[in-house]
Amino acid sequence: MRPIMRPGQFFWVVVAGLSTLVLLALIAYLEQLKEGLGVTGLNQRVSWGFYISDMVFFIGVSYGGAMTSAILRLTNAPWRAPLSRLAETMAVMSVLVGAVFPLIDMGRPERMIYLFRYGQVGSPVLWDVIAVTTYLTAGAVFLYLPLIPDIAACRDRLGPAAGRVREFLYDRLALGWHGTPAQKHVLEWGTTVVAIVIIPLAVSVHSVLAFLFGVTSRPAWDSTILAPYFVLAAMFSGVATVILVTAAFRWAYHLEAYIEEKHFKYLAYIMMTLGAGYGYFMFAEYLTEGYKMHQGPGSILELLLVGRLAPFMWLFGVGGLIVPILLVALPWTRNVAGISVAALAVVLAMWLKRFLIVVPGLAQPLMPSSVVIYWPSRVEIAITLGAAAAIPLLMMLFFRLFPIISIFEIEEIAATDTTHHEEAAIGAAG
Amino acid sequence: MPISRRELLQALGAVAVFVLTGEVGWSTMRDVNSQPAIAAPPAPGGDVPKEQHQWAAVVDLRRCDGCTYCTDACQTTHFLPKEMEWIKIYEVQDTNGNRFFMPRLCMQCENPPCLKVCPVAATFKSSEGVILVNQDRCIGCRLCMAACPYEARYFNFRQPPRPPKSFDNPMPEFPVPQRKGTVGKCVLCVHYVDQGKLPACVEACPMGALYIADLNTRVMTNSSGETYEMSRYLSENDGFRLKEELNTSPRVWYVAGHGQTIEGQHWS
Amino acid sequence: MRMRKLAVIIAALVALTLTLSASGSARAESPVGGRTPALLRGVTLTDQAAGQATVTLSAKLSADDGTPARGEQVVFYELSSVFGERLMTLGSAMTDATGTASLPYEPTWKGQHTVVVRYGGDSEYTPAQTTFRFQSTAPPHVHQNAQFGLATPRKWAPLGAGLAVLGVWGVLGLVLVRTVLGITAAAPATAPATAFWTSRRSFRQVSLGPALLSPLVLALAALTAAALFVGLVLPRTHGSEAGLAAPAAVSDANGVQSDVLAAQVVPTAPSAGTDAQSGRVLAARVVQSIPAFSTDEEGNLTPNSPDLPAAVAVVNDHIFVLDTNHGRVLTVTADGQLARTFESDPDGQTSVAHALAMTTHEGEIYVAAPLFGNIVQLSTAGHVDGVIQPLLPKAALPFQPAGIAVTEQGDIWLSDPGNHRVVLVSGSGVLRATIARATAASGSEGFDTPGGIALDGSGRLWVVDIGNHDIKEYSSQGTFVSAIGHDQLSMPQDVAVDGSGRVFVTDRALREIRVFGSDGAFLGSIGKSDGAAGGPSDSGLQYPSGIEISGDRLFVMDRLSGLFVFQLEAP
Repeated sequence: MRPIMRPGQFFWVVVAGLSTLVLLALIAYLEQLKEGLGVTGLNQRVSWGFYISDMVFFIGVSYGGAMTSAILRLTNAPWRAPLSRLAETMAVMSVLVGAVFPLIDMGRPERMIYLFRYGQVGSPVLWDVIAVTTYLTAGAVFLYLPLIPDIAACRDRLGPAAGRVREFLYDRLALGWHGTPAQKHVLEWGTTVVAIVIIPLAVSVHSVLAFLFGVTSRPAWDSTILAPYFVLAAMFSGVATVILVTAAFRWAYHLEAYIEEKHFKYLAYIMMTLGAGYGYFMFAEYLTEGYKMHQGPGSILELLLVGRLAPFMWLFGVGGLIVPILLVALPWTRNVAGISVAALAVVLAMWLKRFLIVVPGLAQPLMPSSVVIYWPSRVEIAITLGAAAAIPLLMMLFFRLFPIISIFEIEEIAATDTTHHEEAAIGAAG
Repeated sequence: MPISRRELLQALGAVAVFVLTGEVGWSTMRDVNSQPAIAAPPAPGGDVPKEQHQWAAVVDLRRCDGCTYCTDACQTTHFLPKEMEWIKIYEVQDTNGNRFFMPRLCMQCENPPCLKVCPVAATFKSSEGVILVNQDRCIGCRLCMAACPYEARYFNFRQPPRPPKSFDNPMPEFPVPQRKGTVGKCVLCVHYVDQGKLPACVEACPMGALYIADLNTRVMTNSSGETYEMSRYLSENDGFRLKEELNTSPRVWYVAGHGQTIEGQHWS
Repeated sequence: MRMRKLAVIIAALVALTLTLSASGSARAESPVGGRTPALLRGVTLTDQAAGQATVTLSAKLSADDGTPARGEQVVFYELSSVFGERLMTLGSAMTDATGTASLPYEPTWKGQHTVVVRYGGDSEYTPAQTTFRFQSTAPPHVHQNAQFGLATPRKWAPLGAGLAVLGVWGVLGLVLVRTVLGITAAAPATAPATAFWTSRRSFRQVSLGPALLSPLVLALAALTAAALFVGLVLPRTHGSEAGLAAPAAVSDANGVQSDVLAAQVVPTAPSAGTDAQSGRVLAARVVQSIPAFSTDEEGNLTPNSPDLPAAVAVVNDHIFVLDTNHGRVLTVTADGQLARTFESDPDGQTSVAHALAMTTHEGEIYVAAPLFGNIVQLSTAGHVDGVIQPLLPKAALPFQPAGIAVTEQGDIWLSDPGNHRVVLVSGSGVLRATIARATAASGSEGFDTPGGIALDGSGRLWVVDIGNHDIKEYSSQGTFVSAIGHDQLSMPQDVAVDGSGRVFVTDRALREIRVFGSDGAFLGSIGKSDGAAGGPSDSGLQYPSGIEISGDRLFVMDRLSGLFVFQLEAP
């Protein structure tokens, strides 16, 4: 409860820093609104760049929330309890931010309403809009439902001391929750259903994002494995982001009592498995392409592995796959610090990989000309950094209102599994 | 056991909202080939009424010398910035080492990838088979640019140059001036061909390498006045289309001479 | 080495005869450079039953004594107006032992087809050309777009996906609703009740029944969705989608279109009442004729062969031919050949490509050029002496002039067929007067499609109105005087007035020159034989277009047959 009531000075410093980044991003966007997309580094050949990579990346990391919360809930993994709120919040905030990127990328953002007035069901962009809004709604519901008991706890334990606005907010949002068996039953049912629904939804969101590329005839994207590839990439980067976010908030809010090293280890195992899976997908694709060396895919493979983009590709391969797997595999580095470093490497490397999917696909010419260079402009960099800052900022603001650790889930698990840790958590949360 | 009225109503309400928003898009998507006829100026000549034409083009690679007069004419006619090459000349080197020039305009595909992926149907097919862009509706997502296998579409990254006279009514058939933040491409100068004039590039070509054609009357002609019956011309000269295997069914045919092969050349 | 000498020794005279119905005409030439004159005649089309898709075009080539010429290449063309008047190459064929060359052809539009067959000549024979017409009754060819497989699943797949999405939304809505209501309903009575929720309790009846409830609601939602889709969507797909914002339509587009088509496709014959008059032939004899195409000794088309020349102009006894489709002006040399005087710069403002009208004034040639809607002023030597850009008010269609005449003061009358008007501009292009509004009209109200124009000795303006099949007379100020020739003309092209005020009009459909007095009285026709209207014409007029009078000579530019110079008898 403490973070809700009395944030320390540190809190305000971080908020100020993140807000500055977001503000810079807004200013950059205003410049883009005025001048047009010409302020970016995009050109007639490479017409998608940072913004689309960011869109795929940020929507992708939200999958970590679905992964941690939903899958672990359905598989009854008891250790998920302290992580779920963080994961769900991160999921919703990153989808929110990721869903803004298509608007930033649009040449005519004021015509956004046309997507609904004239939407064409045959267009991947519309599938994207539908899938993301559905997923966002589901994520919001999934965040809200387990939050109800916590809001009730805030309502009860903080009471008028929280201020009139918050008192009103807690009262309304708690829906009169008093932990009666009937209420618990309903909530249980609702949370389970949404958890079931949100998994195929998340898969669909990333598949649809992949279809955005897969319906074109560009050699880099003309691959049947693209949709599973994207989904796995999203899971991979998502779990890594959950680790990162958990580590950061744990350190900042002193949550060591609730989130232990073993949580990180379990998450890291999952991350490692997903990373291995992702490496397998890449291997399968590159083997079949590299063996035949057809003109289109072969040239791109060359570009990525030994050509102009090779340094970035190898940076991703080593820094994003090999190093994190090693860090997790080796016992000496399998601790909170090591795992956090691994997760950070994965997150950065996966962003790089998204970029390496989007841009070479466009830079590789379809007509007899040469590969086109794309360099991001400061506007794109500013907006990307602003978006990356916006997610923790939104989360921190969210946690000013609601608890970081899900009391409901801890109690739920305590009901089925009584251990000291959970009970202590309940007591300490008061 | 009764269901609460409210529950049912709310569930139906959610359904109805989605139906209504999706319905418009669904019905427009059903048939990409049928679009509302856009009013355009009538032809003062021609035995065949306007809407019975189906425009196409033929390029004679034997004659193109890479002078790019066609690109200049197109950019002048439509007041385009230099980077928007709606017709573009590529210098091609084939596997036998021959070098030649290849003009590429919008292929006006009959199965156009750009039209299929447009989320707001800003790209549509006119009644004469020409693919046009409604820049009043384009949202600038540029998926069509990614989808076009011929790289024939261009984006207005900045405010395009203002034409000297006041064109206060740009329309898809004559998109002048271009609009910032939307996509533009070759419109086969339907504003000209509907009046029996030649497209700007066809007229400007000093070598007569570009032909405008009508698939209904099977007439094709160039700037030198050389007019042929299309079926016989293409069969006698082994006319072919680019990237036939993609099943886009483009409406631009190419005629190549000795030492000019499109297939099997190194394009990257 | 002169092939000519060999040819004279070796060549045997071959005779050609051609019979055939309706239309066929030949040009017999006197031996040129020792070559045998060749005759070419179009052969009647077989298989012209209604609905027949393919016809066989044939032409028979023979020497003027009837001997068939075999193994010679002839080329078949057809007159097409899709991109302006052009001769479309249909193909070539070799003559067989009987001298007949045949080409199968599938007409792609209904109605009148004009076929031109050319033989380029070689060392043995002179070049020859023939023109004939046929009517095609087969339905017009309509291009079919390519179809691809899996059409039905591709069409209906979005429906399935849409239903799934609706299902998901339904589930989410259901979850929210049930959870929210369930929790609030199950709140203990001792808890402080808030006004917002309690007011709803009265008509709520929440049951936490078995999970069967959810599939039921889901099924209901799916059924409703399906019903709505079937009911609302399917009927709409057969209509047009009104979602697109249509750009501003050209207001009188449809009206103009149908009128112009009527003029082009269905040539109307003169009414029965004037048949007696229409047979009258005006006295005029051909003093010079220059074919529209020519070949050199080797049988190659000369570089100076014009392509569908539309206009002729005379300056001090020098004759100039407007080579329309090549965008150049040719002159007739002393020995009756065509020589290049002016060639258009393809991308310059001085291009005369596709120009239809040319006139002279004070020793200068003025060409009304449609490419940029300007007037190119040329000297007789072919130098560009000026370009005049008429500054006209914006109209529905770009300005593509079809007629030009220069007044004594140097002002220029121009006809604008696309916009139904005739304008007068100064020598620098400033607008002086406009006749008629921008809509198709008739009589004193205006023009349907104004074509060629001419000024008479008193400065009055005569304008061909193609769409209304008459000639309109205006004063030099632009006020309407009269309309003549309405029952006597079918598809008039150009007009010229001689010193005694006689009005000469070329008519494309009738293939002759019709002569009227200034009061409108029909005086006779030139260029037609004694046969029925539209019958074979001795002088070979196939497509008379531009007309010019200089002194007592009449110059007629036939776009297919070439230039004719008539010596007029005094009236």
